[in-house]
Amino acid sequence: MSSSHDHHEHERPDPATMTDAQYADYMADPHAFHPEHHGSGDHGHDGDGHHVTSLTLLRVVLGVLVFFTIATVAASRAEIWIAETFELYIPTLVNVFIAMSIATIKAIFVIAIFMHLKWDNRLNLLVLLFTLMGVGLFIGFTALDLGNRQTIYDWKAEQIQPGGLGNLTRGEDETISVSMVEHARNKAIQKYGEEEFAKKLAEKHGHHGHDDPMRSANRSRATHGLTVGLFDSTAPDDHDHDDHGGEH
Amino acid sequence: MSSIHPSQGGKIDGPVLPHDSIEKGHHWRTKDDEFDAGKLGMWLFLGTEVLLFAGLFCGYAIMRMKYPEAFANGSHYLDWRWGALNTLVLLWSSYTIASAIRHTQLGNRGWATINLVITWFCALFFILIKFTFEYGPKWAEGKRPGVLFDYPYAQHSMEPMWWSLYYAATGIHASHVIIGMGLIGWLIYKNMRGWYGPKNYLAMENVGLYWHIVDLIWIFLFPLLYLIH
Repeated sequence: MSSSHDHHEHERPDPATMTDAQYADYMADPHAFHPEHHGSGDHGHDGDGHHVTSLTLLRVVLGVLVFFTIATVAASRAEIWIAETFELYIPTLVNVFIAMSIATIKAIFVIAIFMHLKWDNRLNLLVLLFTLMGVGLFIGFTALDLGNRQTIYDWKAEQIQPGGLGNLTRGEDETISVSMVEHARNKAIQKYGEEEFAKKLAEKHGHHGHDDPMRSANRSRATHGLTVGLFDSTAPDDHDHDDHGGEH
Repeated sequence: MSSIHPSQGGKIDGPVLPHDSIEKGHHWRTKDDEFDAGKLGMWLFLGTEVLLFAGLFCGYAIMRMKYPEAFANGSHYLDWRWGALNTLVLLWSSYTIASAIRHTQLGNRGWATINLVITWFCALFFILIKFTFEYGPKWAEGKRPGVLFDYPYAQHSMEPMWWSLYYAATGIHASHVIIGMGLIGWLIYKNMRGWYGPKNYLAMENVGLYWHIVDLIWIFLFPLLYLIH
C-alpha cells in the first residue's frame, strides 16, 4: 500500500494481535457501527446503550399534549361562539388549518419523545418520512384530480358526440371518424393519388410480404361487438402476421 | 418497589428472572442488532398502518370537498365532549406505556406492570365510551353507514356517506385499540413472570410503538370528525 494510506493502515484493527475478548468485540461490530461499545471488551452489545427518557420529559410531553387538546377544542368552540354571537362566519378552511396544525404539533411530540425517534436509529425516521411521502401522494394527487375535474369534463365534452360517433377532433378543422391509421392513410392517398400511394406502400412493406394494403388498418378501432361474426372468423391468415412488430 | 440503576444490570436480589438469561437469536451478531432490526420491522409495519388510515383520510377529504353540508351536519351529530374525553384517555395511556418502557429499561419491573395495567384499563375505558355513548345510541337512532342508514331527521341526502366514513374510520381505529388491549394484556402476563428487563424489552418497545400509532391516528381523527364543521 502506498505511503499516503499509512495513516489508515495504522488505525485498522489487526485481529492477529488481539486477545480473545478483543477479537470477539471486534467481530461483533467490524464496521464500528456502535463506537460507544468499543473497548468495553466482554460485556458490550447487550442493549444497555438505549436512551432512557427522563420522567420529567415524559410528563412535560403529556402536559403539552393535553394543552394542545384543550387548545384545539377551544379554537373550535370559539369559532361556533363567534358565529352565534356576532354572526361572523370564519371560513371552514381556517378551521381545518388550525385543527390540522395543532394535530401535527401533537403528532410530532408523540413521535419524537414517546416513540423515541429523537434518539433512535435514523433508518426508522427514514421509513416514517417515506410513509409520509406516500400519504402526501395520496392526498396530493386526489386533490389535484378533484381540483381539475371540471377542466377534464370541459375537454372531454368537446369530443363527445351525442349518439356516440366516437369521432376525434384534432386542431380546428380535422375530424377523425375512422381509425387514426386509416385516417393517416386516407390523407396520404389524397395527397399522392391512389397509384403513387400504392407504389410507396409496396416500397415500405414489400420486403416482408404485406400485400394487402388495408389488412390491419382498422386494428386499433374498438370493433368488438359491432361487427357480427368478427370473432368467429375462420380466416386464420388475418392473424398470423401479428408478431412482426419488432422487425419494422 | 426498589429502584435499580441500569449500571447494576437490572439485577435484583432474589430469584433469577427469565429476562436475565435470555440470549440473542443465534443469527444476530449482537443483541443491539437484533433490537434495531426488530424495531425497524415494527416501523415498516407502522408505515403500512399510516398508509391504511391515509386512504380513509383521503376518502374523507374527497367526500368533504364534494358534500360539505352533509359533513358539517355529520360533525354536529357527534358530541365533542366524548371525543375530547377519549383523546385525553388515549394521551394518558400513551404516557403510561412510555413510562412502562422507561421502568423496564431501569429494571423497575413492578412499576412497569402497574403502568401497563393502567394502559390496559385506559384502552378498555376508550372502548366502553365509544360503544356505550357513541356507537350504541347512534346505531339505535338509525345513524348507520350506507344502506343500513335509517335516520328519519337527516337534512342532507349524503349523510349516509358521512356515517359510512365515520364508522369505517373509527371502527378500524377501535379494532386497533382492541388488538392493542390483547397485546398489552400479553405484555402484562409476561412481565409479571419476569420476561422483560433492561436487556430484553424489544416486545414492550414494539407494542409501545404500536400503541402510540393508535394514539396518533386518534389525534387526527378527533378534530377531523368532531371539531371541523
